[in-house]
Amino acid sequence: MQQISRYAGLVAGALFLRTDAYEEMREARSPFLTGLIIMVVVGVIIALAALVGTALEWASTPNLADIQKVVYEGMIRMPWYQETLRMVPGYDQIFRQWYDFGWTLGRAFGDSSPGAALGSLVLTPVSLVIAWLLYGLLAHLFARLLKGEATLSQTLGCTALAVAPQLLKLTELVPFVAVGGVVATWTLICRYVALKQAHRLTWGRAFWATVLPLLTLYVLGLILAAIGVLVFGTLASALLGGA
Amino acid sequence: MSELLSTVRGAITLDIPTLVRFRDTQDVFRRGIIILILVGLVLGAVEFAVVFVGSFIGPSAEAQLAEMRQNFDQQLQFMPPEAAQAFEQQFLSNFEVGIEIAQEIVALPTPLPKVVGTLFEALGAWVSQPLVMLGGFLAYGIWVMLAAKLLGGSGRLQEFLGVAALSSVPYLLLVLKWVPCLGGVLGLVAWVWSIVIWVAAAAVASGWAAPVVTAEGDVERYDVNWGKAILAVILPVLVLLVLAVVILVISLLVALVASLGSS
Repeated sequence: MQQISRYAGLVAGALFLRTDAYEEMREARSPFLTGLIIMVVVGVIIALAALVGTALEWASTPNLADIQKVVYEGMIRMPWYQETLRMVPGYDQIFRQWYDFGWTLGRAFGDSSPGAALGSLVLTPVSLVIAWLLYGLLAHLFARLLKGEATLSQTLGCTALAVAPQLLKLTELVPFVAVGGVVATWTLICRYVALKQAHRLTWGRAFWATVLPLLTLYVLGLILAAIGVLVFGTLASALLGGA
Repeated sequence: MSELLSTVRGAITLDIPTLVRFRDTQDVFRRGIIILILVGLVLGAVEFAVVFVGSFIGPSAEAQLAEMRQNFDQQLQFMPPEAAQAFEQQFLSNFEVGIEIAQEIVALPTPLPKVVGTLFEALGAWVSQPLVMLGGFLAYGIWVMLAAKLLGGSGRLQEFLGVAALSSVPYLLLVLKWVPCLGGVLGLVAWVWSIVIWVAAAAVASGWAAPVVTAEGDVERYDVNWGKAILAVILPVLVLLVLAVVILVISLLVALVASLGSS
């Protein structure tokens, strides 16, 4: 119980940028382990909140399959559709295929059913931990290059506290709430304070130690996307050429 | 509570000693954020009441559609007959089916009663209001803080964001935005007033408000370097504008070169 209230105090302090919270984490016996526990607990809590919110949202909106049917029946009543159908034979089949494909794609990327929210009970903490480790490792590298003084465990412990703004997602208990970009911005600010405090950096060096990992990840993402497109394109052209 | 009200009053009257006192309080960031969230909740509460109550006593969907159709008909009168006919055929007929689709979707059954869904939507908009304000405030705040630092400011991020959060207070004027003719004007007044508080906050939090002390050791007044504070607040916007112009010019040049190459 004492441990829970200590973790809650750390997270609340970190959220409101209290340097003593980051200092306490820096001097903890095992900052990495403490950070990992906080990260997983916050991840599970916000996923639970999202589950409740999504269930309420699902219960207060019509069935998606019914909406899909109503929209389709409405669209084929539209004058533009009738006109195109007169000019392009077989357009009804082409339209139906693309319409169904669009809905399938939409469901795949934006599934907000309670089932998908149930899956996020595992996915949310896992993705938070992966993002934290990737960012933390790069931030440690840059902070050390900028004459930082913290160990890797201290860097990871302090940057784990930057998960605190994720708690704003607790508002998603209420259906239809749009949290928006506030979490990302607040997290960035917490990371700046964490790195500044952990590594005893000046504001300028802490700024670069905060921003450079993000820029690196962004560039890496672009390179990976370019490689993916290249490989996919080559494979597709080889397959089509073979056919 | 009285301390909170005194801070709010000091902020809207640009009272530098109040802002300095607020900067020096413990947990200034938390206090500032709480004030901003309260402002957001007050604004959201008015919006909630208007949207939720309006959904019961407002005009029906049919009446809204009829009004929309009437507006279109009025506009069609000012168009040449051929253009009006084309507009009617190509847009209005499709648009009306679109409205029918929307009405059919609204009429579809839901597991919970409709009124609960309407309540949730209004509640969601209410809770989202402070989050939207907070997101915008923090995103702009870090750029202003960076500009202030580059101009030689000496403040801490926590103090700067805490004091600058008071810039949300003038937006309380927007509770009256539903008053006809007054809404737009009040929005403009709130925006300008908020910018002025941003400037005062930048001055106070960056060490550009130097106290002038009397022989007895009391603070007589503050000498404020307004120039640097104003520059810190508008610099992010200026940089964004310059970037937008540069990107536009480069895009135009690329398009020009591409068109010359193809011809």
